[in-house]
Amino acid sequence: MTDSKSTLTDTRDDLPSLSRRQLLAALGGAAVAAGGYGYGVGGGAGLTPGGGGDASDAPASDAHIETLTALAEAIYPPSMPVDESWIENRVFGRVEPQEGHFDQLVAAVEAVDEHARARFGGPVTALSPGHRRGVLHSMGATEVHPTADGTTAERVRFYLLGDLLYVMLTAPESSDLTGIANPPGYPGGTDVYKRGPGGDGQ
Amino acid sequence: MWEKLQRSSVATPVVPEHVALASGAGFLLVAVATSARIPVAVVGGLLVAAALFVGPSAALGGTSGLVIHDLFRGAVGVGTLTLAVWLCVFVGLLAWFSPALAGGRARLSVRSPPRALRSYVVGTVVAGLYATAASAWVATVAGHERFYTAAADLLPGVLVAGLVGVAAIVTARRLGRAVSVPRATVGTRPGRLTTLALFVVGAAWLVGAIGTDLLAHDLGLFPTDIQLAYYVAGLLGTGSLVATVGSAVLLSVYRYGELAVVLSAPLAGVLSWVLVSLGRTRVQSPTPDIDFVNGGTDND
Repeated sequence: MTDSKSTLTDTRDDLPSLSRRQLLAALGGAAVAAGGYGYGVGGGAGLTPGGGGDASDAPASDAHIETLTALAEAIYPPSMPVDESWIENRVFGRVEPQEGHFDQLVAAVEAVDEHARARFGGPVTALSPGHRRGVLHSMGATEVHPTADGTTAERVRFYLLGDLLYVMLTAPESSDLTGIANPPGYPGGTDVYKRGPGGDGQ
Repeated sequence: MWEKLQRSSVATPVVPEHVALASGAGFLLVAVATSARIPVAVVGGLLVAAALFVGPSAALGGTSGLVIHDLFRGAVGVGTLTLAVWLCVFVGLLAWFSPALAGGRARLSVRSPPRALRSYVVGTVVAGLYATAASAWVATVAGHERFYTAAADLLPGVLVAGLVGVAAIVTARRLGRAVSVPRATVGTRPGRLTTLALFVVGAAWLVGAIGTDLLAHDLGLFPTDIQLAYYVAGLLGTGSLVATVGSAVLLSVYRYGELAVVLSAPLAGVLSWVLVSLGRTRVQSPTPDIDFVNGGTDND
């Protein structure tokens, strides 16, 4: 026991002391190296409100719409046609469900993109569809119920995934997938009533 | 202040050079792992296992490397904090439990590799429980994730740390190299009873909080507690003991489940502190229980 105590004392005496200067130098060196790496790979350019887009009063910038489109491509079935103009018109072109809804949706898009940069090595748009789904899964957004005032993952589920599914299910382009011939707002016109049961005769 | 803190409280030495090296290594590991889309839990597990070779410096360096990486990705946030907490709690507790962590310059050969293996596995399990629970709790309190999803993300890291660490110890033994341990850990480790009690508390915290959070989350589908009460009454009936108890439990979880998850960390912390204090008191008693000391001193 005595030997142990003396050994302990000796060991502590042998320990190098970590001064503030050494600590700062170590962290500073690592930071400089990281800076070179970060700028080299183009990291750090996250989504910002209005970033990359026009300066109008639009609720989302082009970058947000691009990211949302990339996520829609990963979530929707392959047969569902989707592009940026469609997302912009269908998602942000509708009447805002509640005041502040679009702001929350934009915040959810930013949260997903930030997580993708931190843990998947790049923005959502640079990832494959499978990895985009992986981003949502690793955030926990696929394992929670949609809650408007919940955690970040629950808000992503509510605003982002919920809105994307809503606009898909209410779009006439998804009629073949959903079997809903006339979603709300698309009565189909008089030609619908002239079709036969198979949809191809009169 | 810094030197006092460093010399007085650490059970295992932290070597500045190792911290600096581990910062760079941790940064590169995180950068490569994110580019390769490797789950962050695997990265954490590898950093924990790296503590076998460079001591707790691996966790400190890995944490600073992680922060630097996220900083230059423009993504420092709660995700960074939760992983940093997981790493620091994991390796901090592991250094306390396991003599198989190398302490930089202060090294001593282990003459019983199976004991190093056993203590590493036990330490990994107990420290992993606490680290995962603490990290998930931070994610919950910060409003980032539900407790159960955050815990599910990091639990694979415990498995990775355990498997890689065991493989490293077995490989070192086969190569004929002794696993090194810090002499500074002599007499600081918890005893068997304390370890067992801490395991029970850690497991109860993690499993209990996951179960409570999951149940509260699912019960949250009911808009009001009255609707839940009607549903439970239809499910369990009324008047019987099972119905009364079941209804009371489910309604309590519905109303206070999330609060219970938030309060779980202080409760587990206080319980653990009491257990450790009791363990120390018992070790310092005039009639020590030989079996209570975990494996004896390191240099026997």
